[in-house]
Amino acid sequence: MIFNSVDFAIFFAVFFLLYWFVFNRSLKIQNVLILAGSYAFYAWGDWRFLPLLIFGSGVNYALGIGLERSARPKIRLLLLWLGLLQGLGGLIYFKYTNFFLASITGAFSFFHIPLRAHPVRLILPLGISFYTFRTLSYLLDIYKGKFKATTDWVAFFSYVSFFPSLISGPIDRPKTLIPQLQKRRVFDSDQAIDGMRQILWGLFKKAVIADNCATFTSQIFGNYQGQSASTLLLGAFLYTIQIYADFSGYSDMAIGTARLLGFSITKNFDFPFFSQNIAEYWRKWHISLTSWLTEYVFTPLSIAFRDYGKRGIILAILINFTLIGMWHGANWTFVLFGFLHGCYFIPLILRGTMSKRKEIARDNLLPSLREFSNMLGTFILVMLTLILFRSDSILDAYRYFKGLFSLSLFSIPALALEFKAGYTLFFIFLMLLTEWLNRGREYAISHLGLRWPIAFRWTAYYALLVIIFVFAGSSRNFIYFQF
Amino acid sequence: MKKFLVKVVLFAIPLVFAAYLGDGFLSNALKKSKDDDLGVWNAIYAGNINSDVVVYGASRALDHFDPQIMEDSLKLPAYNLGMDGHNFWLEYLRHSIFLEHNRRPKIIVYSVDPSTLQKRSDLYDPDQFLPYMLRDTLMQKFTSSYKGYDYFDYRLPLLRYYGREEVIFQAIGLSLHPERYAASPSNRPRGYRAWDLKWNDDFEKAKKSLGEIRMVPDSGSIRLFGDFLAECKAMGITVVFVTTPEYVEGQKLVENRDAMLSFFRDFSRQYGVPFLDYSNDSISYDKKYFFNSQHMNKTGSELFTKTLAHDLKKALPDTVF
Repeated sequence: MIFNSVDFAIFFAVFFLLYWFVFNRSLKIQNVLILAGSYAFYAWGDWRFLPLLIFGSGVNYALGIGLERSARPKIRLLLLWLGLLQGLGGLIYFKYTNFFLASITGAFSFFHIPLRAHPVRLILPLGISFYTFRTLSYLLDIYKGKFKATTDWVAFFSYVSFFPSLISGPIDRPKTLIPQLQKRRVFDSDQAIDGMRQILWGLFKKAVIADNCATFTSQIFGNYQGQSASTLLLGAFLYTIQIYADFSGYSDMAIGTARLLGFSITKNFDFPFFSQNIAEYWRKWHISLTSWLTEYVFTPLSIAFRDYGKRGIILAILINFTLIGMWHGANWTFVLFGFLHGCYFIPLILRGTMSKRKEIARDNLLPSLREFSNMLGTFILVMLTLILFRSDSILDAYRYFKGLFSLSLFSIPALALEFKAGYTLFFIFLMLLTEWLNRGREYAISHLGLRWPIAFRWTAYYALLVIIFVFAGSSRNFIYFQF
Repeated sequence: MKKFLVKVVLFAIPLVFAAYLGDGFLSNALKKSKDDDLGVWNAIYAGNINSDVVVYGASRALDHFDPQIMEDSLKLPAYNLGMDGHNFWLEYLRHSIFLEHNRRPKIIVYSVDPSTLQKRSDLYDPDQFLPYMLRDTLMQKFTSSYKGYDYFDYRLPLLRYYGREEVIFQAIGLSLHPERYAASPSNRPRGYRAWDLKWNDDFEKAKKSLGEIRMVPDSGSIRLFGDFLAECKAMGITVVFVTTPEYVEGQKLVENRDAMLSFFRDFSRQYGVPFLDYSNDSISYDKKYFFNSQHMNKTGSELFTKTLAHDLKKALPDTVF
């Protein structure tokens, strides 16, 4: 069930009424409703992997208690490894088996050694990359003593399968979500209205921006040979916007939905296109994944490599980002995508400016020329790697790049004169302008019209709804569902 | 909580009104269109067909039968109800609705081809159904088995127009300037679509990319076709099967062409339906009458229609023309 569907609207309306009117007398029963609703939500998408989700929750619940109660370091380490094996093992099996098989047979055939390895017919369980990371962080935090294991199995199972963020994140940490599940929720009208506004904004980004961009990127990437360089550049630009609008739109809807139930979950995007360097970009893009890997991969690695100075940090960053790339999918394009992003950090590490933070256009409406060129440069670097992200193979990506760098870069792109392309570009501009004017806020329209009379404010909402209704692109699944 | 719910309800009420009003506005505006298959549906629902000779079939029907030529020759009013891109399953829907809103015809000329008894999975040109879908059980019964609209599209007002900006602007244009749309190139005078084109390279491309195609008959469509013939017989409507000329090289594209057409030979015997097969007519051997291997151009279809009209008089000796 996708958020922007009538099915979900009906499901959530019923759920909301049950949650606040029928099941609110007892915290435990309310959490049981969350759990049941989450499983129903998951099963609607694909019921076949529901047992896997429940099994994983059960195993990690038991391991968490075991870790909490065991005093012996060797037992604790063993329990942790069991958890890591269960979680990562499942993820690797479903996601990477055929990738490894294909890579091994490819390597053997490169050396003319015949090796037959038949691909295994596997379907990637919905949301596995997201809920696995939730359970892993739970065990790791208990092991490190940062979080106490919960004996409330309903709360824990609900944490793993919390439906607003189950399928595509944000990847909430246990310290964010479990305490909220263990505390009685009180309905807050302002929070609920704010949640609905965030859902509306997320719906606009997904339906109007992302789905319309997808129409063009499918055409351009599906038939890139023979296209002019300017068309390929347009395709790369639109795909960059598409993936942002799709994923951040989903995150907005997830966060808004959680707010309606009285939960505050992790912010996942912080206007990344206004970043002045790649480090800042990754602090603002898919924040829950980046912070997860920073805490559990990069930080331990940089401690382990501390004796190697800047070279150690570079190595840690390259490993970290290669893993980020691989998390996205089982293809060498994702590996290279991640690795390249790691390489982008090298100048920052060598200059010692990786952690430097400077607010853009502070107290100014417009950025300075330097700030603007930094933003543009960062955007272009990201856009170029997203060509890899979108391509089916490295060869396809190479051919796309080759087509991009030719004199036809100065011609008018195909599709540019189409009405649909025109209004898509207009709405992209509107989105970026709104985000620019409200950077630093929770989400772009969080403060829009709060001081206006109610009639004006509601008119703005109706206008946005009309825009969504008229200009929504052909409904497509969220891009990050496939991860 | 109560305040919040009251706000939500107050916010939603105008939306509900707008949905009904918007649906009415868009649907009524689209009913003025004369374009493509939507234009034909509009003529059907408005009861504007009222012809004694009607043509059924898919794109070969609507491209190959000139109703004006048929009328001039047969001295009976004629209309072309060919439905682009669809098979018998939806052609039957059109037939049912046509009979509900128009007087019964005397003759149905059914353009049959190897794909007639297939059933495609996607709802080709879904926009043509938009103005008539809401709570129309017959429309839902026949179109819902395709990938196109879902359960709520047939029941909730305005929902089916979601994201269809071209249709919405078309409706606004029809509302403001209906006369501009009356002379659109997509108009189909009496349902007929004439192609003033020469032979293109579609056939060569199809040969390269598709090779031979195998048609798969749909058992539900076969049963329904038998029911259709029985109903026509009971209503006193004469049915004639016609396989229109098809460029001879293109006939080899469909691996099981004869097998698919044999269903109609069987129906012809069972129900006493005349079957006029022009597969080997001289027109089929000359590219100048076609713009691709399946479809005749205006020159070809006019020549064919004259031939057909002449042959119909011989095939139906008891009919007064």
